[in-house]
Amino acid sequence: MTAGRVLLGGVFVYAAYTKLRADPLLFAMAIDAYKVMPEWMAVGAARVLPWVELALGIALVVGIWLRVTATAATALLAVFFTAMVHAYQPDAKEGQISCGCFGLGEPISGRTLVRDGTLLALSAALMAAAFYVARRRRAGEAGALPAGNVVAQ
Amino acid sequence: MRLWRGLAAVVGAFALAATVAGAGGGQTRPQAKAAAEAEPGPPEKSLGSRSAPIVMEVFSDYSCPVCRSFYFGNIRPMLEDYVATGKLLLIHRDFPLTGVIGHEHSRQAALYETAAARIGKFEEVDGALYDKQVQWVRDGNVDAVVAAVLSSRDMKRVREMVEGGKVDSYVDSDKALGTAKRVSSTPTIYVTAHGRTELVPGNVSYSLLRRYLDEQLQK
Repeated sequence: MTAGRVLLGGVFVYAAYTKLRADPLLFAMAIDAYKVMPEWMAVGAARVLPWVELALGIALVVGIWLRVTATAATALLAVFFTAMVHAYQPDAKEGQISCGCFGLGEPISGRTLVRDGTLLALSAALMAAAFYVARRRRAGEAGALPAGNVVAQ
Repeated sequence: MRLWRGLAAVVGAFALAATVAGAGGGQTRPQAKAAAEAEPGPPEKSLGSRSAPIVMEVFSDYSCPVCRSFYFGNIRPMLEDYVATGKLLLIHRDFPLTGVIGHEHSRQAALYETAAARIGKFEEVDGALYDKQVQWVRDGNVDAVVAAVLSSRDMKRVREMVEGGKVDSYVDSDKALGTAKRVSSTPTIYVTAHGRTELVPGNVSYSLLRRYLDEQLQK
């Protein structure tokens, strides 16, 4: 689980870095190209999204609020993946949409879909593991409580 | 008498000089004209001032509908807002998607446009090819579309260059440049400002592109 969250967190931090070092309007253009939201929203998303990715990435690497961060990462990756599938044009040589995953210049392709799908699966597995561990811990604590009481009596 | 003879000699000399000059000029001008027509310079496919603070390089294919949208939605308004005002230099690069279904006449269109660019008629032919894209992509008659916007004399020169293979190397060199720059689809747009080159999405809206260009000009 540790390797998974560090890997996923690292990917989020890198994705944020590539977006923050470029002009936000270029990223806004990449989001707008998907045609899934109005232009003003794309501009807003381009300014906010890299910081969200950075915060999520750092939280995942550090390992804090894992259930929350893993759920947020899964939701974000699910949105990205859906948008990419929607915009994907196999074998298109004209008007290809840039993935916008790690800056501009990488058109949506089978490779980017596999990569994003793998990250989504990893994130979902991490989320499931985080919830499972938390439940086990709670169950363990609940099971330990009566025993403690018995000892105390 | 001597005066008259001297005057006559001077007039005669002038007349002779004028005749020689006239005859010589009559031979030189058509020769120069013919030479210029025979071998025009390299194609001029850029619009705007060479000292413009922003340079936009557009790799496009004349058969590509997204390139057509980019032309009418972005290039046309940019010509007025940025190119005419000396803020932007627009460079056209041919990247015909040969071998792709629906792009069978792309190279032919690029050849005609390049030939027209060699005689200073790039803008007219560029506009006509996008304007009549649906028509020539369907019937393959690029020649007719170009002929409609050029004089018969210019069209003759363009046809000679296309048929004589005089422009293939220019189209090939544009394509090679695009390949070297990792162009994989059209349109691919590079914007250079303040010494930095950025890739701009091809299906960008003009309002966003305008915001970006204005931001670059304000920096």
